[in-house]
Amino acid sequence: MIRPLADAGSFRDPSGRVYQAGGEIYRTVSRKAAEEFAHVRACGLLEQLIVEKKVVATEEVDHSVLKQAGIDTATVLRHERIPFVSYPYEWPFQLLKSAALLHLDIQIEALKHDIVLSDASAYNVQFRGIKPIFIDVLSFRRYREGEVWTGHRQFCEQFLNPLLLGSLFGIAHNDWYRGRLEGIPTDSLADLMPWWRNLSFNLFTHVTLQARLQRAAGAGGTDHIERARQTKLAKRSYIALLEQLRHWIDGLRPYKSGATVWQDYAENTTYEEEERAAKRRFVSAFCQKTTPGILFDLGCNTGEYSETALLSGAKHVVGFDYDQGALERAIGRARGKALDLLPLYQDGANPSPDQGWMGCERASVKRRGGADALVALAFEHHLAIGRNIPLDQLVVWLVGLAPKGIVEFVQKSDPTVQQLLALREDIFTNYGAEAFEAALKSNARIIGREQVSRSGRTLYSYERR
Amino acid sequence: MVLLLAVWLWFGTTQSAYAYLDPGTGSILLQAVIGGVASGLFVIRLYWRKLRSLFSTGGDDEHSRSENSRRK
Repeated sequence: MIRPLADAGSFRDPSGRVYQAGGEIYRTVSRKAAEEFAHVRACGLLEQLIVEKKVVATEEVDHSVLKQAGIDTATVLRHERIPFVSYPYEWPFQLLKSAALLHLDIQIEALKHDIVLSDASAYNVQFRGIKPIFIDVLSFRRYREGEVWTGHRQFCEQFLNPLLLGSLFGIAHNDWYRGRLEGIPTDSLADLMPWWRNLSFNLFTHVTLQARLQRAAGAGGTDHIERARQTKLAKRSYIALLEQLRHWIDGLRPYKSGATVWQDYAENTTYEEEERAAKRRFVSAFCQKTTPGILFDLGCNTGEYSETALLSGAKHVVGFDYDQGALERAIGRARGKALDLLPLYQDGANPSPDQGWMGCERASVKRRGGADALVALAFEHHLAIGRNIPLDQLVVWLVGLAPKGIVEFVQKSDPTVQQLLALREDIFTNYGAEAFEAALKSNARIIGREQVSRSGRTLYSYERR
Repeated sequence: MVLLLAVWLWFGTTQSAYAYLDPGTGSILLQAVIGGVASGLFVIRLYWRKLRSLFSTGGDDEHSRSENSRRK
């Protein structure tokens, strides 16, 4: 019997729960929510959004899979599987913006059918490549005449405020968001904004005024709560609010779009074309042979080798990098060439942990797993030298992420390593190809090896033992 | 009226008080204040677009920049 596993992040909404069983994703619908869901389906909205690929493909299935395990429920749905689950604190600016626009588009479309979304959680959006897709079909419910937009505050914290942080100040939202899974608080953003920003109607209302009203409500006690309870919003105002936010967010750009350290890396001179061609050949041969369903590209930079991998047999690539400029360019590459590449923010020395309620609501990169293979090119030395990560630990971590892959080793004599060591003492006496190979051999079999530069950069392909 | 309310809020409210409270109160009160303004602005923008399209031949490319534009 297959034992269904409840998703640790789907406990908040009592309408249903997500389970994994036999590689499939199921969602239960509680008896209370079943009628509401039936209405949403009957009005044709869900079908339309699924056809438009805005909502994840969903079908009703037989109960038996979950019933055998003692899970009794009114309705069981099966969802199309998303290749890799990601979180808003891993999305670069452009992806968070796409997710915000998708949320608003769905809301606006839903209201035409007298349907609304019950919340505005950014975690209800996932990505296939760089295309956002809404996954929580139980968030839809009937519109009640005169109701306010209940998800507005959450939308501000989880979508708007993080985007404003990037747009107004050039500060990436990711680290703050990861520390506070509910997003960026409106009052904190209001405190950060200089007074003249309030000359913008949108900033004044959605940030400053909202924060002030919240504070005034705190001081005013139950009177304000009563006033809030009696507030009515005309439907045309509801739609106008959504349209206005959409128009505003559509125009938001990161504050400083100039070149970052790594943004032009692919074009920098340390990379000679010969070396890059050799790497592409190595990656291509590896992917043709292994045809990974999901490939992790650690230190993906602008996605050059992700592209090679995708053109050589990899099905989906998840790229990780900590440079926002490089990530934006990787997104541009994915968009321009229609690649199934999802570029995510990640610091290899501090990867996304298991966190949230009970320490497992949001999974670590490792627990989400799913990588059939990885490539880590020009990556190892930034952790081993740049961040003092011991080589043997680094290899254990890498091999633990994917059963096979390619890792590039960079010699100490290489100009980039010399640059990393330029202003510090060289404490890395054991750093070298021999130590790297020994560490790799004790965790995996070395399948291939090729030196790709005169400075001794070498690619190793491995298979986990 | 919005302006008066804004002035009152700016100068007349206390700073602290992160008391126990429904965290959505500020958002709901805001919607009460700007709901009407938003729909007014929406209508103005709609007419502005129409007016602009009367004088241009290229058409309105607003919204088309975004990835998941509704106008496909």
